[in-house]
Amino acid sequence: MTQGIRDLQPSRLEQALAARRLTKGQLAALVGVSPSSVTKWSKGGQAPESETFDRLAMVLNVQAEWLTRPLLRPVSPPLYRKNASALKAGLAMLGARAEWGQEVAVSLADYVDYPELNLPQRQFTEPEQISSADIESAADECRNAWQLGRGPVQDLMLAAEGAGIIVVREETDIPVVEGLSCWSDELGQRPLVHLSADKANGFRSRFDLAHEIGHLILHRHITRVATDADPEAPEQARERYNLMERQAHRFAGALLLPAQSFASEVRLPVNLDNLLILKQRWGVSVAAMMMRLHALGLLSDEERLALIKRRSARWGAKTEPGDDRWIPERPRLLRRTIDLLVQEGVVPLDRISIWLGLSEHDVVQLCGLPQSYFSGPGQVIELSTLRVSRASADAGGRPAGSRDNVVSLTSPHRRLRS
Amino acid sequence: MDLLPPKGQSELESLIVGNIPRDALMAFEDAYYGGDQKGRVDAASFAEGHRPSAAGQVKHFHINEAFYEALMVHGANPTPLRGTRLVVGRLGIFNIVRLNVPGHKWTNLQRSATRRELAELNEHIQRKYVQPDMFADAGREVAEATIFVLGVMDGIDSNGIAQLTHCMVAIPASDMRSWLYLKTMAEFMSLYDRATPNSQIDKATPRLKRGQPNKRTGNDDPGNP
Repeated sequence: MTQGIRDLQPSRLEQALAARRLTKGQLAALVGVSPSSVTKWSKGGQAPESETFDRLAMVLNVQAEWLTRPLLRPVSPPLYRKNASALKAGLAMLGARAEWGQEVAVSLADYVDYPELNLPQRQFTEPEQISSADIESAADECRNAWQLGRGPVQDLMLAAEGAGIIVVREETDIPVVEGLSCWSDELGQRPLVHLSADKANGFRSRFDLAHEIGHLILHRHITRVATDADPEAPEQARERYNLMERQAHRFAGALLLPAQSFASEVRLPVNLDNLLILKQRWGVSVAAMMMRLHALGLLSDEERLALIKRRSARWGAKTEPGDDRWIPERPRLLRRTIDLLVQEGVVPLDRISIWLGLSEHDVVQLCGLPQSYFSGPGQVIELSTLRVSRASADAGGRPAGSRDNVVSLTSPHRRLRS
Repeated sequence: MDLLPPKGQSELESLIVGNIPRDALMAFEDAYYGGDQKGRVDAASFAEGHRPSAAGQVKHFHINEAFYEALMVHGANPTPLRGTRLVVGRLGIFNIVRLNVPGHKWTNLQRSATRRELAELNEHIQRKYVQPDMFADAGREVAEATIFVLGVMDGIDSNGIAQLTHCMVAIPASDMRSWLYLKTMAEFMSLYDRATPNSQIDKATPRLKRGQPNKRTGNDDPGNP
């Protein structure tokens, strides 16, 4: 009788299923077992056999040993920035990815200290307590704390990470969810932001980050309730959620476009072309600037509506001119941490993904590493060398299908190996 | 514009950005819009038959006044306001003048003697940035040049008066028969963003905890680095 892997953590399995957007049935088919087996594994009633366990890890693209690690304490219930069409599976996937982001950050924190947390503190317990003046004041305090002055923010991601926020930005294939924010007990009450990179729009990404920072400051002590994605959520809860979203939006506008300095640069009456100029200067989309001007009372309801109509007529609803001129900001903190550990010889490069328990691709995604970080740059092989290599291989009488006949085009010397 | 090789264009843009502050250019643009609006409002009360001529004159005065103020505020030492004379300012190596152009047709730029004289100063720009290989003195720094702020009057308001649609930054050839450089103000502004130095404080750095073990070379335990 084959021995089952006793240490499989059912909660790990559930988390990996969510992160990979796989159903139990799909996993069963990929592993080659019955759906009921996967159900039993996920309930802890039965453990897979050794060989199946390895296949399970391979299908989930995680280290087998990782499936036996106890789960960390979960992050606080995330606040998602999304539109109403976001599906539960997509939200669950992002939630699981955020948990993985936390786990990576926790593992790395065994060896490093992250920047000290430097966020304005607010104690609101209900969104109704928060006034527009409170939001403006919080954004103002945030700029002061981060020494950003009153001009355009050059790199909001850098400022946020410098203030101790852990940021993950990755492609999720769920473009309807732009980001989420949460707090981690495991990291000593440190905030995490998870941003979608799917739209590849630097202006939107900055605004998404500013929006999440707003949630972190304004809504930290507000109890999470069911959101608008849940059709069973009571109307009141949906309104509450929408109010918090509007507040985070207002905060984002106030953080990126301070009232005094931004308003003084806007030519009145507002026109789209002037806003296009300001877009490149402030790193904020025309749509977000219109929203900000409306919030500041510089744009009446009618003027705003007229501009929105004009904007749609000229550019459509999805894009604006110059969207590609601002390169999306990228997180640095986790990447720098990995670099530091490798350079200092604390963790060898080729042990990183094993240590973290995830695939190299996941580590690259979660830590914002270059795609070739683990594989190293490709090596140019002279064609003559290739021919000689093949000729000598043939002379050696190796079978045609042997792996030895495959010429690796990547360098055997991985970068930063200690 | 097509005359300029990419390297020459980039260098010329750096020269302009280095001599004329962003805010000054925005102020010239604002002056154009402000003067244009004032002029059109004033001219609207004239009889229809007089309106285009009146608008031309009144707008000239209003835009000139606003342009003069903008030059003054930015230390460009403008020439005095006097009738229909050009107002010329100076920032760095650049003489700065303005010019109204209808966007839909080519204008004879050579009518004004003052503009012709100012444009002649651009010969060195032409030698240095447009056809650098053909001239021996291409390496010499440009000492003086002229830049035009163009007000493109390509719209018509509800009173039938020509209306400013956008502003451009332009450098005419020395013979004023073509533009050596021409860009909309919106496009040109982005050059300043490109040139902005990264002065934001970088605190997003992890610090190794104290008491870390010395460099390791590997460990066979997969769960332990």
